[in-house]
Amino acid sequence: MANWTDNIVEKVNTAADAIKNIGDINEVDVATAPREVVWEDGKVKLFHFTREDKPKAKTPVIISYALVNRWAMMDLQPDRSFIRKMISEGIDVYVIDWGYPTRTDRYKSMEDYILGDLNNCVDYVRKAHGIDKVNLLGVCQGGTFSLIYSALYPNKIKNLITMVTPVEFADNDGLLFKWSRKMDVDTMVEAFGGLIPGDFLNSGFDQLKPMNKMRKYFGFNDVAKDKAKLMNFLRMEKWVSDSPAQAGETYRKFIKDLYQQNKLAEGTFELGGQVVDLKKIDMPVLTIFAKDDHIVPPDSTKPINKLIGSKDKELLEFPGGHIGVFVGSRSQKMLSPAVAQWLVDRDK
Amino acid sequence: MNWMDFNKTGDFWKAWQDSVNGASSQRQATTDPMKDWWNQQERFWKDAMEKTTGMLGNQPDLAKQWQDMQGNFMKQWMDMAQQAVTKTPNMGTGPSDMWKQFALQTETWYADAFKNKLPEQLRPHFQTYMDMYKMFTTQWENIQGMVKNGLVEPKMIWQMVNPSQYADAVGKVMGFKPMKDLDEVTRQANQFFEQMREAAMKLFPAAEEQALEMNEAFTNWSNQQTEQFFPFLKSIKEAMNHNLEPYLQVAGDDTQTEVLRSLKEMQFSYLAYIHHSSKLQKMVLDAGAQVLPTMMQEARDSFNKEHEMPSFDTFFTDYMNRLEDAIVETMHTEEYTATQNEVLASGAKSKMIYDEMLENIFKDLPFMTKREADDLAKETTQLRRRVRDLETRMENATAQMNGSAAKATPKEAPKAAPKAAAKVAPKVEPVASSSEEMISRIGKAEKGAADDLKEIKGIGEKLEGMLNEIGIKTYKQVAKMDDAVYVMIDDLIPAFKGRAKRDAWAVQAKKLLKTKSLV
Repeated sequence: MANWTDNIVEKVNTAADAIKNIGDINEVDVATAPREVVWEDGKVKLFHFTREDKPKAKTPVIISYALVNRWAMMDLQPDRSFIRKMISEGIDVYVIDWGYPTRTDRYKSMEDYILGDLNNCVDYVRKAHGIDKVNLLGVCQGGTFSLIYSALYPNKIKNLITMVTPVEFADNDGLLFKWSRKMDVDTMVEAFGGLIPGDFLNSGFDQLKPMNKMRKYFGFNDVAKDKAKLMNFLRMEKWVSDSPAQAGETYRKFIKDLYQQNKLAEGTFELGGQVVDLKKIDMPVLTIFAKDDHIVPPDSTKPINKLIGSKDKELLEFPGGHIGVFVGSRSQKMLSPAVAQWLVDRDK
Repeated sequence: MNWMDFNKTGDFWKAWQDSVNGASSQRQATTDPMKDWWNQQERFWKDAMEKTTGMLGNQPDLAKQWQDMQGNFMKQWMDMAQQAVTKTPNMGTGPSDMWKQFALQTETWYADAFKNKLPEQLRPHFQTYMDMYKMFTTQWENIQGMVKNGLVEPKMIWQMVNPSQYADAVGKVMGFKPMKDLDEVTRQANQFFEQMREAAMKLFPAAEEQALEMNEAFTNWSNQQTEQFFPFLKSIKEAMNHNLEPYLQVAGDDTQTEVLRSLKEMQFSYLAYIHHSSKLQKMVLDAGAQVLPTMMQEARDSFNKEHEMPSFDTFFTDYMNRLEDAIVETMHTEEYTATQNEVLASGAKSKMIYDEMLENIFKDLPFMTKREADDLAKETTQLRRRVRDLETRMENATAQMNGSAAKATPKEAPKAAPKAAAKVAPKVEPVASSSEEMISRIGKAEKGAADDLKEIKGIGEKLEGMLNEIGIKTYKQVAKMDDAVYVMIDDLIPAFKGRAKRDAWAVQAKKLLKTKSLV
């Protein structure tokens, strides 16, 4: 009898809290760290995060996020924000916002992104700070871009950090890699009218663990009864659904040259008429991979350190998945301070 | 359990009452039972707290009384809800059944509230979760009964658990459009394309009667059409029906041939799409079909030993995990990858032919087609690339020039700091010197004079402030700007690089000056 009553009361109480919390929500806010646009060209913007004190490291870091989904992942909520943590650890932070491509961008290529936008952002920061070299931090696909850039312009990059960045596309068992290897990418680009929709990319990621998109709702009433948990859950949902389309030409080259032909790792990747030789990367490099990453498996990330020419290089394993690297509590406590310290140590 | 817990319950009922009142158009009718019930509750709790000092569980009589009260209330509420808020399924008889029903209702109620806070694109996922959860709760008693009685042969299971429910659930998870009968779907698709072809053939000699006939054929087809597998075909139908028909009538003869050819090709690729999809769906469904029988067999084995059933949550979570494992294992096979690529390629091809067909129909008409827009996009991208190339070359040249100039007269700092120059002094210094230089070209603003620069397209409040700071305040000054000044402004205000030139500020300012002089 007592159990039965307890059960009901608990259920009603949960509902009471959940309904109050749900009703209280007006807006789900992400990426709230104060920042300003310092450079823009077309849809691409460079943000500089404002800070009150002087940074510990005089060389700022530019974050180059993937074209897939949005960099808001790195500042999802105030208490779990890779970017805020980096700022509070004394790093001056910029982030490139690639914007939302439309059909007018269908011919925008990797060349335009890397030799155009990325290079312009790097130059802007060099000039604004009166320095020769900046720090570059690339995430996932944005990390692959950063590797390519650093190999072409080693004179402009002081330190390079890659996070969950694929470079070895051939020797791994990742489903995404398996599928992409045999995909008829030309037909896909054409059929989508030159703009690969975010939903299509997302459905690909969803399929890797088909139950994930439902599993997360299991026990949603326990989440909803706690205001903070509920907000964080909704922030993640907002991020997941915020997925820009990808310019067709860029997608085509990324799939063909990398996923299908593994050109970067094999030293035959070309950009703007130049062959990209990863051995030319000679600055200090920190390679971060996630142990349980099912989107970019460690096998595709770890080889970075073998392929580059740097002497000062480090491999850092993060215990978690592709997204946990940025939002997990371990990321907040261990990873961002470690990254910041690594940069401070190499700021001389 | 303490008094605070019950307090919260009270608040909940109050909130619920408000919400029900708000949702109901029959406000008057709903208020009284609520109020009445609320008063009863209050009296009861006051009494109960005095007698039990909070431990309801020790007082079975009181608990029973409370339970009955809830039951009565539930009855009232359900009656009311049936009229005013939502349709309520048939209820059991005892208070316990009512509570179960109530718990489900509540869950649905706040699940809906929760769903509305999710981003639009994710709501279907949540709905799928809810559907699956519901399906499982309704089957749970069956499953328990079968496990307890040892009825765990796959055949028996699929008699109790509806296989098409399973297919629907997995289909939703995987984003499949359910396809129950491949032959029937194929037949319908073929029929559709035949009708399209006939209609297209008749249509070109442009008789109104025939157009009507075509319309009718489409309408009939789409009415018979019950499968959800055809959203793409529906869009063809709609395009032809509503948008293209008048244009088809003016299109030339060669267009007719092209359209007929496209339809034939589309038919083949679409059929291929249907068949590959069906194969893919079957692979996934087969892979997952073993999971439930296996789990029930295991539950049976452990029931024999422990005489206990796993809890619903455990069983449900476990099922989701194992179903996923089974599906992912299949997805790792070569056959799955190949089939998936066939699905993508044939679907994409149908879409391409469809686009091509539209292009052909529109080609003689005075619209910009997709292909033309693509050409423009291509050209723009190439131009941007050329500009970038030229900029780099110019910077290199400037850097070289400045380099040699610096050598000749080392005291003079490089002006109009070029981007690529490796070492540039921190930004304050060059700003001061080149803003003077810039002002010397366009003249100083007369004392106290200031125009609203925001009138110029491309200048907002922020940029206006920045321009004022470097001494640009009047239309007269802006009107004097030339390319060299634009470059200086780009350097002084890099955040808005290229904007002055792009929006041709000088031209705009000249116009504004004219307007101003007229006023």
